[in-house]
Amino acid sequence: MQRGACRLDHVRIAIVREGIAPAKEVDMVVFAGVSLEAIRAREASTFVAAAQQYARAHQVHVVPGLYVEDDALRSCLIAPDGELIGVQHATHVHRTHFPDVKRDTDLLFLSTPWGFPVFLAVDVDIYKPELLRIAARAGVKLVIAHQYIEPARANVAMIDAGAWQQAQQNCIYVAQTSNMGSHLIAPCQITRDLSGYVATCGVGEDVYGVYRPAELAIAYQAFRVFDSLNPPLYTRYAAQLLK
Amino acid sequence: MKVVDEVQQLLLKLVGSYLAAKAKPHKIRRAVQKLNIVRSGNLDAIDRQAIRVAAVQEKVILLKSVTAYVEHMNRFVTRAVQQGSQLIVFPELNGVLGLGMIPFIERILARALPPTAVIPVETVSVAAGKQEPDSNNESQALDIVPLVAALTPFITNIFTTTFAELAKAHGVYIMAGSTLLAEEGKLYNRAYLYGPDGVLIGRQDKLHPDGNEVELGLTQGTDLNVFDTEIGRLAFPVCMDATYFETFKIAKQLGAEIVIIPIANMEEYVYHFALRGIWPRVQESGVYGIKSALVGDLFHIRFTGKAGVFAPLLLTEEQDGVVAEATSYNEDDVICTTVDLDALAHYDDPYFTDTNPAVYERYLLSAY
Repeated sequence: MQRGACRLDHVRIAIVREGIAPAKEVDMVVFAGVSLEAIRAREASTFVAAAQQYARAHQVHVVPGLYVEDDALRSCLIAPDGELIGVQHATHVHRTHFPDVKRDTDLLFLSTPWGFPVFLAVDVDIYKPELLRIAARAGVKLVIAHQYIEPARANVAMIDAGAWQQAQQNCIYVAQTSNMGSHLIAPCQITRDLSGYVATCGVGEDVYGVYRPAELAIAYQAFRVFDSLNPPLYTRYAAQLLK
Repeated sequence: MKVVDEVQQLLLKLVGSYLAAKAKPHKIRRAVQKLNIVRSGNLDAIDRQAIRVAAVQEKVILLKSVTAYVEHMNRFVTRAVQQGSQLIVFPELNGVLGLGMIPFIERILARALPPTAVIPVETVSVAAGKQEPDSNNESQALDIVPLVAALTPFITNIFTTTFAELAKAHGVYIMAGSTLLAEEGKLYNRAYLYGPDGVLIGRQDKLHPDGNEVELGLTQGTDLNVFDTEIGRLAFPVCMDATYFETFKIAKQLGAEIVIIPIANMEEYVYHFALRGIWPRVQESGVYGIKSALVGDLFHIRFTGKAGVFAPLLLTEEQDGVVAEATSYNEDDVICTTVDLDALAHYDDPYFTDTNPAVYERYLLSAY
């Protein structure tokens, strides 16, 4: 399918069911989150290869979702030509869901054509403010968060406490998806209803949105979150902050 | 441009001396004694599984006498004590409500308060064209530091004595909220905690003043304190401090079980704007959070917020992180509820509680 070159001033993003072609022209496709069983069932090389083929076929960036390989829970970003841009390993682990995976210590901020890096939050990494602060201060403007949420725990609070509030306290975009639905999230000030939710969808549905990095700068003027950081305090209490 | 002249400085000194005389500690103690408070037995038996706490939501009001100030604060304390509260927390800027005693205070505040203090609620696409500061208004603002310096003896007298005496009279812990004060030429937003014997347990300066406060001359605090009490280990950073996960993480690692956040949010109420503070911090750090709020209108400034008590999701009935919360965002209220510190000690949620110090050590400090 012939697609135009991606625009550099905005990112058209879709969260769709795995393998489904996007219904409209987009720049990035995120496959929707799936069940724990489905994550476990993924054979890494086959899964990634299929995503690479999808990227080439639709000429889009792809973030296909969580998979386990070599004791690591992973998420990857694939370029429209099928090249693997980068693979992020989980740095925090849900010990009940993934007792067999190890924590990594590398954080990758992946290059994109939009002039800012992207960060892949792997499962419960989205609940760790340290990571998102590091990412935002490194220039990340968009975080893709795949996670598994057990149905008994699924409620809006699990999204508010993770993807939503990371977007607010760092002035970034977060595209979040799990087995319970998907959300495109932005700083409150640049969403129509001031909720911070650009678009949401349930299981079995797809969601589309457009992220405009220039709007983040405008959002920042309304809530200058980094202006009030207190680095001397953080240095003074480094022993506590780094635990 | 800030305007300070010699006549103004003399006037400030005279007013400061006048007010300090009006608010001498013995007058405040007498006002408290006249209330004939019967000491509660709320702290006679302390059960860590049922610590009773109260979050005050207080409509902003300029109180025009010592008696008025004492009676006003006592009404909230009494309401909380009658519901068994052992800890009562008041909002940010609670200490400046006694400025109603200053002659011509309305005129002074009308000049001193930034005209853009109320943050309009509108999407950024509308606001984008309105970001330029109004230099004409800025030129009429007073230099607040000398003003506060002149008033500090008065402010601290009435604020600290009132709450020390009320805590002692009722036999409860009171986090009095915060006040602006000047110390060695620097302006601070400082909160105070009093014990049931009336003794000052500790103080906490605001660590992350916002842009407006920095423009007014507010100095960042340098210490984050956690205080060990019979009803748990308490920290009480101020308002904007709750925007930053760093505050709560440090407090938790220093041993805090309950983190109190007094607020005085100058903005129209929007649910999701208000959600950006204490609630996510409680989820990240695994502590109880108590929010007290100054609400209502003072001239062109609107304060909004819902006082409440918050906990990690698994420690709340609906798994929504809310133990109790005010229903209004602009009326007086006292939210009384119970927190279970033993449950907190055993709290573990694999979504939130995993850590990786190697990552933080590698990247975090250099991010600032």
